[in-house]
Amino acid sequence: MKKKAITTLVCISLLGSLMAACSGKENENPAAANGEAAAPTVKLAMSDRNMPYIVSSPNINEDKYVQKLRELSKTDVRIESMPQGEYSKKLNLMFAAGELPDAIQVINGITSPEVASALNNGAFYDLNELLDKYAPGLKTKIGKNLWDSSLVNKDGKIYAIPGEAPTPNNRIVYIRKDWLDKLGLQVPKTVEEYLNVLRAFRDKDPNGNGKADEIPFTGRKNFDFGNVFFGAYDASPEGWKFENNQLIPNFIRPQMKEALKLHQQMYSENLMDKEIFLNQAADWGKKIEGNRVGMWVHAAEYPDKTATTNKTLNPPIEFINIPAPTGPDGKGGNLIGSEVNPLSAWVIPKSNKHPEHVLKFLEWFYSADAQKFLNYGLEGDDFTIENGKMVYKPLSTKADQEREQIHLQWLRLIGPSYIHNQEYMEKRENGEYVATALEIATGEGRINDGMDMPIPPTLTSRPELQFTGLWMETAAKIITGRDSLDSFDKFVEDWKKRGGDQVIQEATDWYVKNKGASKISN
Amino acid sequence: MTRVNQSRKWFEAGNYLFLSLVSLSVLLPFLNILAGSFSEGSAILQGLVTIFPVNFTLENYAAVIHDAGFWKSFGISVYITVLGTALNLTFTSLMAYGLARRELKGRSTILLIVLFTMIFTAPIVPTYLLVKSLGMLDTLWAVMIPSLVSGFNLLITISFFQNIPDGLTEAARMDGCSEYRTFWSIVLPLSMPVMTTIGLFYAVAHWNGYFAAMMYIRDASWFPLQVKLKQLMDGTAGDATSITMREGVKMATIIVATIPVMSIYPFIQKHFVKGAMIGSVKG
Amino acid sequence: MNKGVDVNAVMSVGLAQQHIRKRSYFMKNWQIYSMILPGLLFFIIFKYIPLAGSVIAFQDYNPFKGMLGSEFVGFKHFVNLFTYPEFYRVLRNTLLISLYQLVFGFPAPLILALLLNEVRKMAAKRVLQTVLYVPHFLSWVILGSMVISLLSPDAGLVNLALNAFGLEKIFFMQEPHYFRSIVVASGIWKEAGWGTIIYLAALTGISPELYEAAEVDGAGKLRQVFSVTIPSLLPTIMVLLLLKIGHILDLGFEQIYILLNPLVRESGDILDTYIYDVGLLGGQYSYTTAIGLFKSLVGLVLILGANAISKKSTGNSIY
Repeated sequence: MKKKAITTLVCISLLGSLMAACSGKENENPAAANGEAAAPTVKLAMSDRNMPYIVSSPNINEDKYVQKLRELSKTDVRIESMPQGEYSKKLNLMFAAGELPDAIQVINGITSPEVASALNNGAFYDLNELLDKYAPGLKTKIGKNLWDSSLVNKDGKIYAIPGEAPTPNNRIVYIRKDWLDKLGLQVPKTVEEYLNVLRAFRDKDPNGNGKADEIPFTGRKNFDFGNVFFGAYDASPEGWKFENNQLIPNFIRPQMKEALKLHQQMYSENLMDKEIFLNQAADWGKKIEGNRVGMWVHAAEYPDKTATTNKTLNPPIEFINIPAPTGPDGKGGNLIGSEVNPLSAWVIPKSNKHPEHVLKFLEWFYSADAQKFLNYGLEGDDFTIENGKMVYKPLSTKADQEREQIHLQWLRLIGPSYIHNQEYMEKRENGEYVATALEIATGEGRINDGMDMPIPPTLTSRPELQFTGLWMETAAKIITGRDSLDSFDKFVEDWKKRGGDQVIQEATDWYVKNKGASKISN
Repeated sequence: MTRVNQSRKWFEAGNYLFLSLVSLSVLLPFLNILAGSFSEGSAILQGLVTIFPVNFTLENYAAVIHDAGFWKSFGISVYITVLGTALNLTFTSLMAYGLARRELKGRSTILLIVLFTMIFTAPIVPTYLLVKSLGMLDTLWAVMIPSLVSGFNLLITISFFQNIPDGLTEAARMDGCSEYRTFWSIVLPLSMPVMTTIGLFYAVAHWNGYFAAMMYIRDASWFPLQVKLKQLMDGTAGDATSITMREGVKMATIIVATIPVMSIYPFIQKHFVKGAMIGSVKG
Repeated sequence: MNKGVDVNAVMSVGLAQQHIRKRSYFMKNWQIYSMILPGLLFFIIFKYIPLAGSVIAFQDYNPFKGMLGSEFVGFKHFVNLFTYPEFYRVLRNTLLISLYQLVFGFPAPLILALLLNEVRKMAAKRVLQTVLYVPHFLSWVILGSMVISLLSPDAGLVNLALNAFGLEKIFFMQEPHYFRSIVVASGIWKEAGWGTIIYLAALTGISPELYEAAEVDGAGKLRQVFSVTIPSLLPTIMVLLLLKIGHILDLGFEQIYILLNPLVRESGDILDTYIYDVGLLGGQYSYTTAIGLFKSLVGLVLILGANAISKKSTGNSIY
């Protein structure tokens, strides 16, 4: 009986080994249908961005959208999709092992440590001349600001092709319209007005369930999607300011003390989620969709999708986007980010003997064909033609919403986001939300003098000097009332002594070198 | 005597109560997820689901089953688990048999070598390069071979093998049996408890394995289940456009992914039978 | 004077004999060694060869330059670790949590196994066994958020219970002095059931004759546990205990990372979370490897010491 079990196991092992031996690699580039020259092959490595549709795909290279992309761009695209969470680890291993694809999507451009060190070792092409020769369209269609950004440009040389950020300021306020209406409240503008609205949310039971379970304002751990009140004081924790000839982090400036005072007040008055330091993304989402939150922060890019989803909730929730709270200087908002899409820029390893294929392929993304495909998707699946007009199918299920991500965002390797395409947005359900959101996003925001800066060397060996380290501990203690507000001063002193001064020096050097000098001439 | 019986009864009752309470506490989170997998999304979000489904629905499971990628990675996980465990058991038991002999020369050294590797782990990059140079990158072998023998399981097996009375193995040797014969006919049959134990450990490790697959497999269509699962779970962070994943689907996915391996134990419990060796050694 | 024997000759003959004896020993036992060889080769190829890569802890490793091309920097990274101002805190937290886990967590599966063993009805025993190990299969991503919800001052069960008894709500997850206990307790709850499996397997190997003999000697149930059960389980217990000691600085990273928040860092920051923070910045392979080496070294010293002590006192050891 036992012997039978063992024999079975041995047979399975043999069978298994056979299977493994036969499990060949992917089908290679199938020969072109007609007698034309075969389409050039372009192998890409990119992040799956944790998008459900991509993650669940049994084989992304056999996906119908990718196939359509091949057909339209006349390029045999082969995608190696890598998990977002381990992206930098995998890139590192890829560099160490030396088997590089034809083009690699880089996150935070060329400033991320693994890419930067590969760059310093001459791993990637200097693209300036190649662009002039093979894809001059890219140079004209992509703005100078992007080409000059430190995310793609080093010492005047271009090493990466930038994707366009949908909107540089991508964090705006979402607030419950139905609650405002129910309580007869005006849209708040200043910090004080916001606080009064939040107090009403807290006290007047706007979700109508008889319990005082409302959370007026919430955010995620590390103030992710939740630092809009810091912006009112121009003290966004991740930002830097060039003051008195030094580039210093916002979190040691005196304005930060003011901001912390406000947060302390908000916390003690129960205007802020008590679990704000614990919230993971899922917790945060649950609270919002669970009809408990009055105000939160999210992307400016896709309030339309949120609106669509929210209507399907039970009970449905209704929000509007409004300008961020303004502080003492009458301004507010989150940090304005780069015009380069931090999630998508492309480097070409020198091991690729035909960089021109990649360049021509990327240039195609600015064509009308490409935009049509990326925006509208596939005929039949995503839209139909009725009486010669394009009718976009509404997104009725979450599965639909997830599927549209592949053409709307994922396959949009470079090029302008769909949200700027008027014609498209008009047809889109709840598209007007996006228009409002963009207006707000471009009308506010704080400048980050340290934008696109590579991580200063001292910070890499002393991670606690980042805002998520020592500052976050101090801030959390102050805000929850555990420590007094004045412990902030001690923190600043301590931070500087432990290496902060060095960090400031390195940051300042970078700033002077990069913002002072003139950029490449086109 | 009655007093002993009385206290015995109290003890047993108390024991049952205690174990039941512990079991309940341990079961509740699982029941919560199970209930959620049969519930409608909004109900979960509002915290209405405790251990019973709210607005009972099968749509979550439907979503999981229709997901072709899910079943492919499920199959890959099964393959890795079955084949991997078979290889594990073979190599581990052979090595343990040899090292169970206390008087064997060089034993201490070899054990020290093994112990050392349990305390010191190699950094990622050199391991990766080794796997690459052996040509295993992007194959499922890379997921199974680098964990071929677990030092921990090896030591456990050695300890169990040493429990087998020397008289038995001596007798076999004197009858002219080779070591292999002794191993196969005498020691293994008596070692079902430990073999099933480490078999279970290895199987669970393969099934739950994430890191090796994530590192060594470049073709995403060959990812085993846990990698896909983790990606789906991570989907709520950062870029995802809807605020929450389909909560119900998430829970259904968890259930489908953990049930197979949780169900192994009841089937192998019969091997944990007492008295396998009673009466085998006389005098 | 030929009385004396040629010492050299005798010695060389003696050595030759020893050599032959050694060779014949290996030859005689070739089968045993052949059974050990495949596994041993595995360890050498897949564990030792990459271990040589630990040399990057002494370099400024650059994956692009490779190990041969990266600059050698000696103990720079270790110095960096020891001069990290929170090093003491991180080490202390790691050791404390490990110690609590050892004192409370180590005996738990054993006790549970013994209790399970006393269950008469086979059916009940099987069901209980299966149920108890369920949490082992749920990841900390899920369990972590469940623990947090449970302890939430908002609607968490624990606080609701406290309220019912007229006590004030406590924000457990944000109080540093609860953190370690939460970590250890939830860890025990998750893993104790799974840990019983080894002990249950070992318990089947104890001959009932031993129990009968003890009962004849007048030993009650509890006495029997100490005089029969524990000594019979001792080899297994010692192996597990020694290994635990060897991993004293290796805590479950995932659990702590999920439960950690800025307010409890002073109790909850451990070596593994520090390594993670360093690693997040990317490219710090040398530094993280150095920290790993430090952890392993401490573990090695401890396990060698514990092994020696165990050998002398209980007769059980790993090698």
